[in-house]
Amino acid sequence: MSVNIVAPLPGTVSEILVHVGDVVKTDEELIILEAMKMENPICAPRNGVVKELLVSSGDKVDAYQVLIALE
Amino acid sequence: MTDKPDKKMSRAQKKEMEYEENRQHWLAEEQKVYELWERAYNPGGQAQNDRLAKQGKKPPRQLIRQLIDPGTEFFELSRGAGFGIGYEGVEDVPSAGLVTGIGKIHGNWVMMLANDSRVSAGAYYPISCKKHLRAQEVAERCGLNFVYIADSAGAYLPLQDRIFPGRNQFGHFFYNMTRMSAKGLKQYTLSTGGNTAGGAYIVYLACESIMIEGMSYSFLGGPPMVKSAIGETVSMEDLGGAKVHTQISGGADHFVKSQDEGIEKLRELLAFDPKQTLYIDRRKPAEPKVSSDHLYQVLPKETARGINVREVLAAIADDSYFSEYKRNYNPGRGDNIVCGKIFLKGIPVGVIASNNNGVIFVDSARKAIEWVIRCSTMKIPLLYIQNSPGYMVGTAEEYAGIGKYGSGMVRAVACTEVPRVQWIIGPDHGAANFGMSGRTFDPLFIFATMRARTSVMSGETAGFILTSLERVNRKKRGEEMDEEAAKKFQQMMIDKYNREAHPFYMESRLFNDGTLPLKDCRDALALAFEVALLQPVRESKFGNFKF
Repeated sequence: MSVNIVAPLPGTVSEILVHVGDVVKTDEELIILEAMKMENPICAPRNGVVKELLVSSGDKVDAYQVLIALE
Repeated sequence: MTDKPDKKMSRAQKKEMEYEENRQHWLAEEQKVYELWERAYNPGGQAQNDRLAKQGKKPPRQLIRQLIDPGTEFFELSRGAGFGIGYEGVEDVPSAGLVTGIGKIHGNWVMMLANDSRVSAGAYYPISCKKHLRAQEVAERCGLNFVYIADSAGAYLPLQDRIFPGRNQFGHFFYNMTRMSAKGLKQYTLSTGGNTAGGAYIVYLACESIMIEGMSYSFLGGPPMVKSAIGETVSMEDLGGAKVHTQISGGADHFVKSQDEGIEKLRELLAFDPKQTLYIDRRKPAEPKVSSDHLYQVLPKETARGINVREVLAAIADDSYFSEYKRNYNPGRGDNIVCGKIFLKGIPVGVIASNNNGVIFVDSARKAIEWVIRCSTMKIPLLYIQNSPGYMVGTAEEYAGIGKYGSGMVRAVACTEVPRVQWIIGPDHGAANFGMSGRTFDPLFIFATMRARTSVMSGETAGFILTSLERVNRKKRGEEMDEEAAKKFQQMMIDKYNREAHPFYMESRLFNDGTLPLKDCRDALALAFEVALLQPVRESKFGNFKF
């Protein structure tokens, strides 16, 4: 089952730490989102494989916008 | 296919590198803590130590070590008090001129206070009053007996208007002594120097007091004042020495011939107390499973970087075990506060911990309120781990009631009767400081780390806002603010905020109870909860929550 990882708050993607196909573990950092003057690591909610990256570094994103699809 | 393990490897390596960088950063930062302590332990350097030795006196911390049970540690509070305080003509008052802290005497926890006569002859500055009263407050709230090792010139006269007339000033020491004594908390004083005028009450008001021949003096007016007032010529010893007060006036109770003998006498007086009870079911303590430098690795060196607080909990909890409440509730928003239970050296503790970037959303606020109420019902103490820059802003959160739920956190923290301790490991700004049990909400203790930053808003935010305001103000006066001027002003504001938010700045003013090395935090927190639980936990009553 795939799971969409969304931005919890509006902000700017400052760093993408994974590539499509990467195997990731629970709590592993995937993306750094800059918002509220903080760098916010967006972490994997469970073990999985990165299926799709839907944003690029520098993108402005809205709350609940899908960032990564994890399989 | 073959390149995947390599990529995986590089990510793991990157993490490892980041961990190592964090570790190096915090170890270097904590050198500053040890340097601060060194300045606290030896105010005035060798010259003052020599002067003390010449008087046949030992430094205050040495007396305290002698007083507590052999092989135990003295837990000192607020060593950094008074540094950089900046009174007119007085930049530093090292440790605020007195030592305060908790230690065990005959197996019982006792609060101790010792004037440091190497700092302005033990005179009280405004910050000294605050530190003295803070120690009394902790003792009263925890039900601890109190030992005073008194050697003070009294109020620092040039600042008398900030020491004498106000409620939380010099005279309140004596009010507290009598009230605590009335509650059955023993007040014992060993006088090791002059205690003049109002200061003499620290001897007379003690349940029992000890004076040392040729070293302790107590009088309402010293020889020069007696001479000018009534023309009588008298020596210090004959006016208010140890013999006078133990043999003639009866103001003091025990006569000894040296500091060593005085310390022995204090131990003797405290030997008759019943053994203290811990009002919680304590399990057998267990060490965390992660390495001892785990905290140094997992805390990002940048304060503005989000954290994984579950890793922080692994470093302080027994067996690194954390029983989490609502683990799956709305990740990314709901888990910006993590709640649950740990054992801390065998003591069950409820945890309310900022997570990720620490920004508090409606979901995280609601969860935190639920958890405070749960812990209050279970009567287990609460540890607030603070790493929050504030509550989430914007229409979405406002409409969802972030103000309402933020005030719910405030109500919960203010009304719960379970003991609370706050531990600051990152940003500590705005209303999040209230909801997460900051100083104005009276937690029993606040311990900071070198990563702590406490201010109404972060330096970056303040810089932005204050610059916008300044631009508007100048415009009103018909002045334009060019980019360079704006940049300069903004940097000035950022620097000011960052300086004032620093844990040393907070510690200096008693806004926290000490900045601790990360490796000492588990011990400190466990000790704090143990001391907090020497009295039964009371029922909590909360007023009118809004849901």
